[in-house]
Amino acid sequence: MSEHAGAQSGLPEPTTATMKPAMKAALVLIAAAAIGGFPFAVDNYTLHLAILSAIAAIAASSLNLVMGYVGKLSLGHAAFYGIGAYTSALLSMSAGVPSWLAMLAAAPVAAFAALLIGPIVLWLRGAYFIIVTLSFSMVLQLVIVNWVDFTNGPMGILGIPYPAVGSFEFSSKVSYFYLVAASAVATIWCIRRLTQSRTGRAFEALRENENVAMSIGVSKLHYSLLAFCIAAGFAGFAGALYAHYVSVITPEMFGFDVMVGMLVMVAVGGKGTLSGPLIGAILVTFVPEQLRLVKEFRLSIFGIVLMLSVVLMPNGLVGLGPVLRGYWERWRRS
Amino acid sequence: MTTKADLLQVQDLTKRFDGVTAVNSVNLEVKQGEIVALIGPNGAGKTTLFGMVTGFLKPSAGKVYFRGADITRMPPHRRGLLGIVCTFQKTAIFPDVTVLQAVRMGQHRKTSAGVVDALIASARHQREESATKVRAAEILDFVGLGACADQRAGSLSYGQQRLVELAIALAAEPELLLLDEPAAGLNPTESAGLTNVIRAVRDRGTTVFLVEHDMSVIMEVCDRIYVIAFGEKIAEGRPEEIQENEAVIEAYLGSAHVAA
Repeated sequence: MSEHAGAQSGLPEPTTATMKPAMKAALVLIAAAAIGGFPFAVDNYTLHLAILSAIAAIAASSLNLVMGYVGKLSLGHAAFYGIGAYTSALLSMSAGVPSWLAMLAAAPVAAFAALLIGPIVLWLRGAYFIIVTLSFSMVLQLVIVNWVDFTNGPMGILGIPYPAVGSFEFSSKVSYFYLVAASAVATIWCIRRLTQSRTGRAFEALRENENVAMSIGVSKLHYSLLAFCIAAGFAGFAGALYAHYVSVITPEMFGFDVMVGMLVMVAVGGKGTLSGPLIGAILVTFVPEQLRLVKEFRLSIFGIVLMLSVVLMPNGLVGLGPVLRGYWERWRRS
Repeated sequence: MTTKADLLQVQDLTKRFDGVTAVNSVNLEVKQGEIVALIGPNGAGKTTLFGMVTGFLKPSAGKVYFRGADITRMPPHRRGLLGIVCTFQKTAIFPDVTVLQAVRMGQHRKTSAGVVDALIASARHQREESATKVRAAEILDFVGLGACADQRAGSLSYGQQRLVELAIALAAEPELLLLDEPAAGLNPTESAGLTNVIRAVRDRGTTVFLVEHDMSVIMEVCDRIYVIAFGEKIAEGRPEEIQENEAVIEAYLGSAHVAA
């Protein structure tokens, strides 16, 4: 995907800001009730997939901040996810930090990693940026694999504890679902606030046209680094949520599979939109499971899906809405 | 020398590309409240000179001063924040957002809310969110695009996109507005409209420095004109002086004049 393809996101979505307060409150209540009731309406396996979807939604939404709003296709995003997972696992297991604190610490550690790598990569354009960010996560993966004393190497880390606050442990699937759902809602809410602000407009200005953005006073390095670090922070937190849920992490978290998964979520759902990555995360988590896809074919199918979605729906599923509405209007008039 | 009235001063500015001298030791000044044009035959170095004023090109030698301060090495976005805002020769806008949103983006330098303001919806954030909407709508009315506010900027006609580009620059409320061939590709009606807008911009207190080919625009709006050819300044003066200037006529008509 070229840099140009990164700059094709659609018009701003109709936001709840334009809705009547009563309708907004009703929608919030319905959503809260749906999330609250969900664990009791589905079987254990569906609940498991829902938890994975919510974690993926956080990671994909954070990637979208860089890819959809600033328009930089980072293939190094899985590294921040992995850094978050390893940070939280190592802090809670080797350093004896309470697990909830270790999970919260994953975000600033990942953001700090982005702050170190950002100035080196962010001035690169197009394909160079893509290649260097990809190499960054590959190099980190090699470090994790080989630094056996610290990371237990390719064996990964086993027995990561459930997060606990006081005497309450998030050990049941139901409680973990509430934890990840609340985290996903909070993440998307933060990103929404951010994108609908002066900062978000600076991000989009860079995506739309770097030269014009600079001419009106937007610092390319400052704002792309800001987005890069915020996105890394959320990705790191998602990694921590994952680590403490599945209790096992391996260097594969830094791998190309994870990265392509995130990429497909954002591209299929709709980059540069708030709901796109969420929809993409749910689809990419549930659909392969329902089709009982063999793991060996996963990447090949992701590749085909990614190609088709870039060609057929450059603005993702969310972007199809206005297109279909246009067809419908034309069909009704004729 | 730099006087208080000089908003922009260019001193011995030179740009060499691999041995080719595109701009050779040019001096010029733009005073507060003026409309000044830079003209010259194709390839004379106008856009190169402009690039050094906006910061997108680094000069090989010479200095650029803004309000007496040396800005020669300042990156483009810092100049933007100072109030030196430019438009580009090839139309450059924010195509995939609405026209209104594009103009709101232009108000970056006149607003200050940060990440924390956005997250907690601070009073400053809320004030700026509504103020930028109102201001953007005003600017769109000013350039005559009020009716297009909710359309995708990239879907407008060429002439309208040039106005969007101008509206984005105006949204930054520049001290010095640099326009690179604003009338290029416009039909006579559109360029007459542009002439009025440029004059109105100056009347609202913005100094304008433009590169232009369209002589009707230049003769109508400019207070002073600089002429460059082969990277060197060959004339300067009021429009009527430039029209009669021998060196200028020769530069534009070139060898045909000699052969005749």
